Amino acid sequence: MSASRNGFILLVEDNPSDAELTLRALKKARVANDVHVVRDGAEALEVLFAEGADAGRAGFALPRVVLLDLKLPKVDGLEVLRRVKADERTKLIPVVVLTSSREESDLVASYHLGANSYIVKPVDSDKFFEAVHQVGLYWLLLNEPAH
Amino acid sequence: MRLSSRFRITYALSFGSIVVLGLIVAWATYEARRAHDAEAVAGEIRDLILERAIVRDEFFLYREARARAQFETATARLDSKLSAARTVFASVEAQRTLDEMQNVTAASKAVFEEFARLPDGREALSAPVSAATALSQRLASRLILIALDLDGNAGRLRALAAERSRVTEVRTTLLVISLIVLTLALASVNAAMATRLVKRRIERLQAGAERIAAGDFAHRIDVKGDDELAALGRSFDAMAARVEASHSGLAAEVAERARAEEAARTSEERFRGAVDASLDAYFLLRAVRDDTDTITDFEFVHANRNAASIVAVPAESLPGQRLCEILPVNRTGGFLAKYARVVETRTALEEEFAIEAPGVKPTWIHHQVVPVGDGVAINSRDVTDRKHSEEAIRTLNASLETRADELEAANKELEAFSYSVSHDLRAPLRAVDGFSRILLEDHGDQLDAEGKRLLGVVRTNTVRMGQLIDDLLAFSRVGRTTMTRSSVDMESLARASFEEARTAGDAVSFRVGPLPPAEGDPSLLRQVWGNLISNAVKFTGPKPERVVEVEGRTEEGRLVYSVKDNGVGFDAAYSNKLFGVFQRLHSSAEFEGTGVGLALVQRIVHREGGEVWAEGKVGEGATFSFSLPCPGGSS
Repeated sequence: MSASRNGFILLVEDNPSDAELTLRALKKARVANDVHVVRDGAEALEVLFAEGADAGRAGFALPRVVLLDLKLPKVDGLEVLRRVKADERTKLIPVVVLTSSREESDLVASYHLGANSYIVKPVDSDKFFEAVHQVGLYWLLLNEPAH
Repeated sequence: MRLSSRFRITYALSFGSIVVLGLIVAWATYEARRAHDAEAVAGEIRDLILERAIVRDEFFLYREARARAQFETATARLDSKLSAARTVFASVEAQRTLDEMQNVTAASKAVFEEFARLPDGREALSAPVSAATALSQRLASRLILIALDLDGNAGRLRALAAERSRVTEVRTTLLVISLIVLTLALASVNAAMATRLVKRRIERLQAGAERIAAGDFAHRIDVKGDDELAALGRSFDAMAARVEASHSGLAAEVAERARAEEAARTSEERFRGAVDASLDAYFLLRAVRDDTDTITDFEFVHANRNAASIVAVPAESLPGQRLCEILPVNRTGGFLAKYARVVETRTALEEEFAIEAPGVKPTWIHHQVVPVGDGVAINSRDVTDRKHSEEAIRTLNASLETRADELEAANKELEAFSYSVSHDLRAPLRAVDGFSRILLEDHGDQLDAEGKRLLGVVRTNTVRMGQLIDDLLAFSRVGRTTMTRSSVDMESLARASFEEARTAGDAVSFRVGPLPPAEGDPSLLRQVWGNLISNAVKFTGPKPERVVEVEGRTEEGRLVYSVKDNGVGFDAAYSNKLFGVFQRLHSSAEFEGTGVGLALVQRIVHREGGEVWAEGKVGEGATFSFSLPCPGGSS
């Protein structure tokens, strides 16, 4: 994984099918950035804060955007979100919650913790691809990052 | 007129009489002296006249110059005397007499002068009568006549003086007598009037006093006048008025006291009746104290029938008996000390306790003790039944709480289940659809037309199942989420719902009348409008002219909204199935849908406290209506 000039995308997704579909959708949307896929919250935190297995890794870099599922093994998505937004180093990274949950409580909690977007993954793959396309377009091409 | 004034008048009259009397006496004295003086003057004049006559005669005889001088001196004296007498004799007659006398004197003087100029008469007396002698004789005669005339006048003067003296005497007498008579008369009249007035006043006062003394406090003496007795009468009336007022006040007070006593007696009877009729046991106890003023026991003052039956003594014979003698347990059971504390601290005591006896259920007593005078009033009630009910209620409450906890747990489980459904069931579906799509995209050239159609069916059903899951979740969420309440602009909600429901290119005519605002959960009401209006738009699909109308009104204290369309309508026979979950009156091929929308509408409207109903005919459109409580009404 090399840190390109545009930065990489951190995709936190435990469901491999969803991860594959998301990757394919990003590819179809012609998003050129590298995508780093992790399977659970703990791995996500390792990447973000260079903890655990990746600790002390050279060339430490922060993702350009985090695509975050909420229901995750080990450390759940809301906890990851909380840690990211509470830390000075990471709180400026845009976090897009990409989840199957339509629960109001999840939505409210995410925005409270500082999520930048909240997207419900549609069952309909046409709509799903469209949604991922929009996310890529907006957060990687249109949006000007803070750093 | 005041009596004192009358008495003063009498005094004044007497005093005035004395003064007048004195004046009269002084006047009479003065008059008498004047008369006396006049008489003296008259006497002097006579003496002078006589003296002159003697001197004249002497001159007649001797013709001496001395005699002549004497005569002239006497004449001068007489004249001056006569002049002086003018002041003594005031009467007109006397003045005239004096005038005459002065004239005569003057004339005699002239005659005497003439006589003296004549030759000596002595020769004439002895010599033959000559002419001169004749003249002197005539003159002498005349002088004598004059003298006589003077003397006569002097006598008259004297008589006048005497007359004046007599008249003064008579006048004085008359004056004194009339003065005395007048004074006596006036004094008598005054006294008589005063006496009559005093008598009348005193009689009225006496009569009035007697009537008032006899109890006629309203009587008034009512005297008119300004004398002292009238004033006394008025004071008496004022006193009588005060007596009357205080008497009537006293009478009212007595009547009031009698009423109060009657009221107290009635009240006493009433309370005694209430106490005796009470189903509770009621005791009234008086403290019994020893030498050190410590309460050692209580004495029954009153007890109603229930109370008497508790202590097993007839109610009539209870008063006077001692508490600890009848119920020795009180001495040991702490009641004596409790009651004594109530008396000493003046603080009411209320407690419940159980009387336990072996082999039977305890009897619960509710006991209220209040201080009354130097004693206590006790109200006891058997509350065993209530205690049992309370126990039952407590048990029931406990089980209800358990049930509530269980329900909450079940709700939590349901929530967790819904969460799983929404999250976990959708993921595989998304995979099925997503990978079917990838299959078509990447390997579509290896599939024939039938293979592609079959994959399309897979995808359609996957999406449909996703929709079903979403709808079901929405449906179950209505029951689980807590509702908020606020004023909702129904008209803009309806318009927004129509804009969402209409797909591009749909030529649907949408009419919305003025809608009264409602009160409720905005997001739930939004779902109601969304479902009803999207249904209406959906079912007008086959019609050439598509019309959706929304109306709202206030009716019988509730708000009623309706959505009317001119769509395919429905068979009224199945209208009861419209609002059931998964109930559909049309096939999916005709109109897409999961059959959850109207069930969701009904569930929301019921939760908001309203009703929902539908009218329609096949081919002629449908009207879906729902009602809500009026804003401001209790929910």
